[in-house]
Amino acid sequence: MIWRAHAAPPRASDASATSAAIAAPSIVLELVSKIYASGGGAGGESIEVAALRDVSLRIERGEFVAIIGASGSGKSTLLNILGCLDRPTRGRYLLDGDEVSGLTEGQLARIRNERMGFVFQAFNLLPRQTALDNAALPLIYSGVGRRERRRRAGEVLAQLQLADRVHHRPNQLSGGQIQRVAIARALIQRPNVLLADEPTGNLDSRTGREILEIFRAMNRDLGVTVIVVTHDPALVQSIPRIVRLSDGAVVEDTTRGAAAPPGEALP
Amino acid sequence: MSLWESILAALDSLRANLFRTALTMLGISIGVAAVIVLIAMGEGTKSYISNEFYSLGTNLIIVQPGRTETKSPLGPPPGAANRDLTIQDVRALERHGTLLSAVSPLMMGSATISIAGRQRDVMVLGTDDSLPSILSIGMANGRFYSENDSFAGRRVCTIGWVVKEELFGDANPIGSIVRVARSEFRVIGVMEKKGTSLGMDFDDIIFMPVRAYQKLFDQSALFGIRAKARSQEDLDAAVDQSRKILTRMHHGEEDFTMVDQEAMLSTMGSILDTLSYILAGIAAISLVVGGIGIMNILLVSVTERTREVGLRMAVGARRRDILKQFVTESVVLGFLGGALGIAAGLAGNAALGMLSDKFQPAVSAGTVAFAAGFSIVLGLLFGVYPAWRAAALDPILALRRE
Repeated sequence: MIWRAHAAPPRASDASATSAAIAAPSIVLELVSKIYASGGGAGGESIEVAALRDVSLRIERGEFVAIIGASGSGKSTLLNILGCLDRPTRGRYLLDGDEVSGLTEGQLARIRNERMGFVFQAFNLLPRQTALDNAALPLIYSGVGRRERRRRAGEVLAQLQLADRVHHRPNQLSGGQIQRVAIARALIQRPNVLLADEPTGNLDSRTGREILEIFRAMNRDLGVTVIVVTHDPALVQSIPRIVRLSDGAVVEDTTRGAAAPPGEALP
Repeated sequence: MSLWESILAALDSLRANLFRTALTMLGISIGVAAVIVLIAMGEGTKSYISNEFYSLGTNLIIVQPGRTETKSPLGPPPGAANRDLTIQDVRALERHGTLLSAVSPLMMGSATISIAGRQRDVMVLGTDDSLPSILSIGMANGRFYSENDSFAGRRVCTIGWVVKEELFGDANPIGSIVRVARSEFRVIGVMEKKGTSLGMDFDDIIFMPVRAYQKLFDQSALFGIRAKARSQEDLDAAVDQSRKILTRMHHGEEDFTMVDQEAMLSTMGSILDTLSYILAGIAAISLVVGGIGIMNILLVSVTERTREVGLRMAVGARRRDILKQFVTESVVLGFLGGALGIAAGLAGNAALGMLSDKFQPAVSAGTVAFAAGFSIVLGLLFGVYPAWRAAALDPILALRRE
């Protein structure tokens, strides 16, 4: 797969702590907890449910990480917090050296738009729009004109072998093609971090391997940090770093081989 | 996203549910069309009435006996006068009314007119030679009686078109002697066809000199006086002048009522305006119902598109982007409905206009612009709540929604 020669540059320009950002790890979570108040008590009193408890995690730029764990272990909550879709109840989240837990909704939306790419199990393409417009969607929210949006979407789709499918709507595409359109959408802003929630969950195993291959190439060639939540053993096997959650806490954090920069859990 | 792009995107998602969109638009369209048709009918009625008034001559001043405190456009109730208007009053106005171009006495009654065994009950007007110029009525045949005829009270008459047709058929009536009640009158002219004006058939009428009328009916009090001001600019001054002259004639007592045509028209006009605003207000209620329809359908749409909202937020849409998206849809919906309603309303007006040549519904460009603006505002008002609901969605929950 041929990627752009100019791999995504570190976005030092929009980090307030410019000098620190260059060498800083991509993601640092310090004692992050997420607690939901759920009003499900028999007497009507509210119960606090902790989806995450004191999670500390360091992910360097360019790492490839799998988050695994039983359902209800807090994987999705962790991914949502990492992706700035959700805010921790307690603890600090530093993204490229910037504290993000205290940002406003608008600022978080901007971070999601510019620095994060999301890939979902259910793909979440807009059914009435073409592959081109689906892939271009994030650009709408950074004020890119229609013509330029389509040009860039066309480029990214071509890199994902979808050049002949740009004008197709999702119902005219196969599952693998749909997921590749979704990946194109995630990549169009050249994000620092790609977050995937069970990206192969709705695909057969061969297509799943294809998608994994794309992630790998992005990670290797573009230096994108890839974080995947998955159940898929085939996927887990080929991802260098595994973070296992249980009951909202990190219970295992292992890195295999030397393919990726070593990441370590904070003590 | 530019405004134009937002509009295109809104149109696109409205197209996704074409039937639903059409039904929602219909609610607005019916309201807008109803408002436009009702306002146009109000305007049409107004200009119909003013045309009717002006068809009885312009710059008209009407004097009725008796005093009214209230400003009824129709004058005092007949018979309420304590001092009559007389021929002397008419003469005084003729002599001193420098701002008047013509003055006529008016007496009205009905009588049986007959010739050679044919007879017909008609309205009889006793007046003098200047009434035709005041009421702008011309002659079809023969002549109207002269000042001399009037003054002498000669038993001559001119007859309306219908009277001529009924009594004489195709024969020439000029010079014939007809019997009116107990007296005989010579027909000297036929009035041109005038038709019905303000409910009075000017063709089924005979005119005779006022003195002849007074003798025939043994009556001296006038029904009223009709005068004509020199010009529209002089109308108010002419009314004042005439009032002074008559008050002097009546020994300082203003025991008559004087109304000018413009005042009558503006009284009528304001009554009609009130009526048409009430009607338009009722029609506007249906617009509000249409707006509720928009809100309803938008709420459904927000529910259906919860995941879309979640996704857009995940890829960087701010809450206000989502708000803008749905409000734009609502405004576009309102505008399209309004445009359709305007088209339907104008078509309705054209259809109504074809039913009659006298009555033409009329609607101003301002009203149309207002209707268009109002439907946009309606879309905005009723779109804000659903849009706010969409913008307030939690992206995580929204994405999880099946």
